[in-house]
Amino acid sequence: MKILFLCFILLIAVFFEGAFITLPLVLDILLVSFVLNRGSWVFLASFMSGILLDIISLRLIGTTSIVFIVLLFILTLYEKKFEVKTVYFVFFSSFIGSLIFLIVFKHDYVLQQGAISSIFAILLFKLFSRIEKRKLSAD
Amino acid sequence: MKKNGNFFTIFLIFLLLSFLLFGLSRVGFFGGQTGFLGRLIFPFEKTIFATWNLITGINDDVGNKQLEDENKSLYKKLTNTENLEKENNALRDQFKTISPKSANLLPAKIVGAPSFIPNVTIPDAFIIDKGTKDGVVNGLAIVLKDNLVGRVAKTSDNFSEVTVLTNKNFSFTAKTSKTGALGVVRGFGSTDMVLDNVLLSESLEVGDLVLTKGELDIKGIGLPPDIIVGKIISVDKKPSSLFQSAKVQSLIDFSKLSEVFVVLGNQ
Repeated sequence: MKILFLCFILLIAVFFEGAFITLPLVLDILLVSFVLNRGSWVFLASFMSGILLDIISLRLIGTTSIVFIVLLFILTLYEKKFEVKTVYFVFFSSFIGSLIFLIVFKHDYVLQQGAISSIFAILLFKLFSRIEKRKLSAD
Repeated sequence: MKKNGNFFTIFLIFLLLSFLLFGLSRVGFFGGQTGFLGRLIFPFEKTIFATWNLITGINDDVGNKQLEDENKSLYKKLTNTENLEKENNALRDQFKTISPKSANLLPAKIVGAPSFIPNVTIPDAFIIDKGTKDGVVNGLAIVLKDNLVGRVAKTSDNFSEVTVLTNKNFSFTAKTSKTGALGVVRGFGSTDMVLDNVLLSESLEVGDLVLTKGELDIKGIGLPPDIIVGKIISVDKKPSSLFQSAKVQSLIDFSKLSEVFVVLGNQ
């Protein structure tokens, strides 16, 4: 159910990102999902959403998937050394991740968009954590 | 430890798959970048884009009304220019020679503007719902009435990417309508462009229209002549410089566009 919900919002984010905004919403969702669940299915989600984004944005298929997968893998390396389930980690990782994404795809206003993207990631992190807590207390 | 090993294996599998797709896409294995999946996805994208325009109050009527008003005054200016040109036979002949006999216009809907954040950035590229199947090829001009919007940069079977006039990678030769001063128009990623490389001996006037000089190839692909680029809003002329330049503003509000026309060549 949780995975289905994430797939749904990922799909919405893909269309939003493809149609009219450059903010890396999909990357934020993947990153927050990975921080909270640490499931290997996030790699599959990165792969699929990357392909969809490439088709919509008329990019070479596979480009976005490579960026998403590499960025998520870097997160797994930090997981050993830091407590990743914190707002600070989400903020910094989404900011750096967004910067890399925006630079790779040659978007403008990299810093501003990176900042907005990391704020979005924090909000998403808070929302998902709350949903998770509520589910745990209900169980 | 086992979990990390798992992650690494899965990471490697998907990374290799991505590289495989990337490689196949690069050698043109998928033909157009949008095959069956593209045809499945784009209607959704189109709907979301249209809904967004509706929510943010950007619709055809508002944009077209403004353009109509501006075009009325521009038509008047163009008529005056044409009368002046009639008095000069040599210039008139030259003008006739470079003008295309006719232009086929193909209406296209804007279905995406990937680098656009409303009220923060201006769009520097559009995705339109016409592709190679409709006769669109790289380099064709995109216009709205008499105004230049941009040029086709990438094409797939059903969709194309248009580089907007104000994009920093867009430059072309242009002339002023009153004085015929020649120069190069360059985009800067903002609402304005710059008409550069204009000789000091030429005359540039604020309010004068800038038109395309014409960059058509033998197949009629490229920018046709005498399409309005914008109007001069300021002139920068220093006696010590080799050239003078002018700031040019397009008459189109690119953020409110929803429909454009592709100028098809004689393919």
